[in-house]
Amino acid sequence: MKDDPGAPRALTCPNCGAPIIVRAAGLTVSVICGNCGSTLDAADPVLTLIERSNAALARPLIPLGSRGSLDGIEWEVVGYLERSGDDVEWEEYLLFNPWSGYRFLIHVEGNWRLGQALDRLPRLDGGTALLDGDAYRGSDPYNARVDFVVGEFYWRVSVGETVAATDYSAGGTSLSREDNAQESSWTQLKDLPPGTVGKAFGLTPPLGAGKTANTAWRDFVHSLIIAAIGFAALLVVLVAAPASQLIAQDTLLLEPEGPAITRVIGPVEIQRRSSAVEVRATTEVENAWVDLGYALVERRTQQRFEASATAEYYSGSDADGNWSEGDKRPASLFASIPRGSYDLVVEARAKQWGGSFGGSQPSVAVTIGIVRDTGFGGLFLFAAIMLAIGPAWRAWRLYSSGAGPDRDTTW
Amino acid sequence: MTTLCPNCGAEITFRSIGLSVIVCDFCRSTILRSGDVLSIMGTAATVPDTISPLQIGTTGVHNGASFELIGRVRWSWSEGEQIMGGWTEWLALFADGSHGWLAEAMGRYMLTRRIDAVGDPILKAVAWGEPLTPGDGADLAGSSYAITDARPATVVGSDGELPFAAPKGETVFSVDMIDGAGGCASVQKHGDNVSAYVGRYVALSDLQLRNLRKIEGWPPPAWAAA
Repeated sequence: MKDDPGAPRALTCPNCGAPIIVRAAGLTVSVICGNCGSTLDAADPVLTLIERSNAALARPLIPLGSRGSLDGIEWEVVGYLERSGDDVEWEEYLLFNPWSGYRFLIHVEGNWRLGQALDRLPRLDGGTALLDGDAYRGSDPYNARVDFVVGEFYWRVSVGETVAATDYSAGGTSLSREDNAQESSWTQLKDLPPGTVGKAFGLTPPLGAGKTANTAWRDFVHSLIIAAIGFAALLVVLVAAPASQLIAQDTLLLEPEGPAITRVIGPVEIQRRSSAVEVRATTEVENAWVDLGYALVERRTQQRFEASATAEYYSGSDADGNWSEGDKRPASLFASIPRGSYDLVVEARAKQWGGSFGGSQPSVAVTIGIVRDTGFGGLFLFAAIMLAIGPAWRAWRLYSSGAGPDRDTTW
Repeated sequence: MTTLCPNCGAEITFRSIGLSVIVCDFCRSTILRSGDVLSIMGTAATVPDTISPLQIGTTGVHNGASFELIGRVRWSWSEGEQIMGGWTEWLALFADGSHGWLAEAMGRYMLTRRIDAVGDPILKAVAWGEPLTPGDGADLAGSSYAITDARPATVVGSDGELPFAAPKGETVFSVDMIDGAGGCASVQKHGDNVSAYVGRYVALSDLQLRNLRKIEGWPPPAWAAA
């Protein structure tokens, strides 16, 4: 027994067949397949399927399996969560080391924090939490929801799970309390200095690096150059005016009032520096509507462009005769998508009115077509405005960077 | 004491004086010792592989007392049909012949020892199966705690020397508690017996551990070298 080293378990996803490595065997309870997004039961030796999925997965900024040293300990990224509160979104990485257990690496609004589950209970005094002689001031409670999850976790995790959360802060340290019906868990979080995480996990450009006035100036100049190139390209494109082209198409079958369906359509190859992409939905709805969410996700960089649309059609008759309204074929425009190889992630949900006006379709077919480089009139103006936003933003950053530390780290 | 397994004849060694049960490494019989008499109580289930750096034979020091891990029980807890989690309790035999438990759960470690508690309401509540809610306060042996969970736990498998037989599927009701300064306790009900354990959260790096298990792909940290 002593000569048998502990090892990650190599298994296969029962839904899609992709290889799955369980890095913390014995501790991990849930695994979300990195290929198809299915939720698997790691407490079961054969990795049974809990929830089947074919969702496209956002790839975390720090890939699963990455290792980096924080606080003098080497950590491996084993899980990734995207979560949102009432008016904030953040990312959580679950870090693991076999001798030191788990940590949480939190990325919120450009800042990074390292968290550890508390093994002792803070004492609550009104809205203040007391721990180790320090007083932490509490925020208003808010709901924290899991929006996306991939990797492995030592608890049962699922998208949509919502807990009541309260943050207590004292300078660069804070406590987070999350309550569900069964238990309340406390995590202590410490702010990490800018650049720490990028350096630890070998990411470029360094994450969490505060920008100086110099780089703000450089960014401004770069953005002007990019905008100028963009205008030139737009003019060239306007002259050449390539025809629009259907590059991918797929049909989804939705059940009214049924669950949302997620479909990945791709690849969408953008060879030019920047192309317009239009997503056209075609459906036959009657007194029903289909909510469509689109995300164009670049495969390598995971850069996302999002849009949404509603396909709807209502008809009936009243004193003025028959009426109808709605658009069964909404089109959504991504005006300037940079060069790259993209997947279009479509999330669709069909709804219908209840009662006597209710639709009664058993199912709704939605055909999604992806068209590259469409109509140029309004598009040109729109693209020109989009191009102007970069320099305008950078100019504002340049102006504001003189007046204090810059917290912005998105790039 | 070294003797032969009454089932398969393999050599078995009791490292403790006081522990009454050992699982034969070879045939996995659970053997009860009563004086010099050995009897077979059944077969212990195998503990599924985990990535733990601990193993039977790992030695360490806690509060100046040296110990060796000589047995383990793997537990799980469920909600309905679904297993919600598992943890390992390592039996630590101290140099003075006493024993404690090094529990390994969710990447954290607790070292506890059984105490003879009497009179605390929490003992009665557990004995009578009264509903206990996480977050509620509970006093045990003069200390105040808050309940973190109260739920049934089931034996998955066992190895080595233990104070009791732990056949697969055996269920206890377990209530875990923590305080505000790293102290922890648990009260368990097994059949009609209620037992109490108190101790602390510990970091492996503070236990001067030796003879740790190697883990593929992970060089041991500096404190575990040697």
